[in-house]
Amino acid sequence: MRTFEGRAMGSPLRLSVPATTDAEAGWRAVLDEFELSEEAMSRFRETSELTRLNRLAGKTDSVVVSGRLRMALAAAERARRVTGGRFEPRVLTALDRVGYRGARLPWVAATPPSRWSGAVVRRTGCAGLTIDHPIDLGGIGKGLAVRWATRRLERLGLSDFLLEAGGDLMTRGAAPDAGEWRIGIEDPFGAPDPKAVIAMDPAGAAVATSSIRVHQWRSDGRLVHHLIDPATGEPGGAGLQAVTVAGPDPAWAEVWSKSLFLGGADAIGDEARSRGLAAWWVDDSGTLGMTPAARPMTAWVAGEG
Amino acid sequence: MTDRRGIVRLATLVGGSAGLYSIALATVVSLQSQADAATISGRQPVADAIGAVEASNDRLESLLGGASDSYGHVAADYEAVASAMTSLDDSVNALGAAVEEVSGRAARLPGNIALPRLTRSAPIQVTTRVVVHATTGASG
Repeated sequence: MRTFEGRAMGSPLRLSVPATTDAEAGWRAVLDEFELSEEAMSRFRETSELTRLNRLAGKTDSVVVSGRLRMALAAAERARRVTGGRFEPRVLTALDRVGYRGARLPWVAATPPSRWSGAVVRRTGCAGLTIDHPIDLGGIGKGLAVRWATRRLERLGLSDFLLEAGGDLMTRGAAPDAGEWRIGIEDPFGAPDPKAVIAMDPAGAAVATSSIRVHQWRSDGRLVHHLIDPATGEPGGAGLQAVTVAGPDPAWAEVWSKSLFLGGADAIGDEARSRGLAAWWVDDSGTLGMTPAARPMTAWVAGEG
Repeated sequence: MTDRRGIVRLATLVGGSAGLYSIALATVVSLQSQADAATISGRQPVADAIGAVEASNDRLESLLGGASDSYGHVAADYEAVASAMTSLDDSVNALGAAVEEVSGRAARLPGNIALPRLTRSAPIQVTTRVVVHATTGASG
């Protein structure tokens, strides 16, 4: 197996292909796509389009943005509607308040969740945009970058590959040993063995995980994390440590993993089952749960041997 | 001559009397007919009401007949259910007796069974290390 490694969007970036595959051009395409995506959607980069847009939040000045940011904003708006508001890109001020800060923004009062009604973005003229509240495209942005990079790899003729960007992954075709790509679900408590192993569909499958293992810190004497519940403006997901969702698209896998996480341990089973999602979750006691749709994809579970 | 004149007078008198009688009779008949019509007309509402009461009675009788039939069916069904309940009660009693018998035998079973000692002659693989191509987890 050949592996190309780098770093983008605050996460490790890795492309794995069978040893016989010439993937130099593919890796360059992946790096290029992630650079363009980060320049469009990163809230950490001072010069990104999103930072420029966020600095004009609440003002009447409109901004003309690239196709990538326009598509990302449309996807975030749709995700907000489909999840009933559980996925909300306007949580940036709440994130900032609990200490997960990105690029410098003008001071804005923390937006009460009740004011997050209505569209995320308003269109002005034929190409301009204005926003009322600063936006975070972190999770869905990385999922979209994986989606777009995957398309470029396919256009270059790569049929068997694994593309990883932090917790978001996309696979196509067969693994180097000619079997399925096998993805481990990290133990959020740091154990070396995975909690379970997913056998990925050769036709193409994506996996995303929302976890509080890395981004967790103390603020005002309490333990907080970066997954903000729009209903309260506070860190959510009571009783859960991590949620993994598999599906055909990395951006939507990311949306659902975050949305299910914010529902908390009491609601995740019913909600994931009712939506037919292939989802795995680990609660505060370390217990692994999964939906009926996830079971056939599960090749191995810790404790079951 | 006098006799013939008397006969004519007598005939005239009889004819006149008959005419007067017929006129009087016709008048009486007419008056009687009008009185009968008035009586019939006056009694018509009562007759109609009597007819309606008779029709209602017929319907009520029909309903009572239907209710009687239904009661008969329900009574028959109840008899059948009662019979089945009796049979079920017998079955439950038999099951209770069987459970008591099993419980009694279970109570007589030994608390420990001495198993023969086994000797392991081949190594047993306890765990299999899982191989993954990548891991999904917290990003950053």
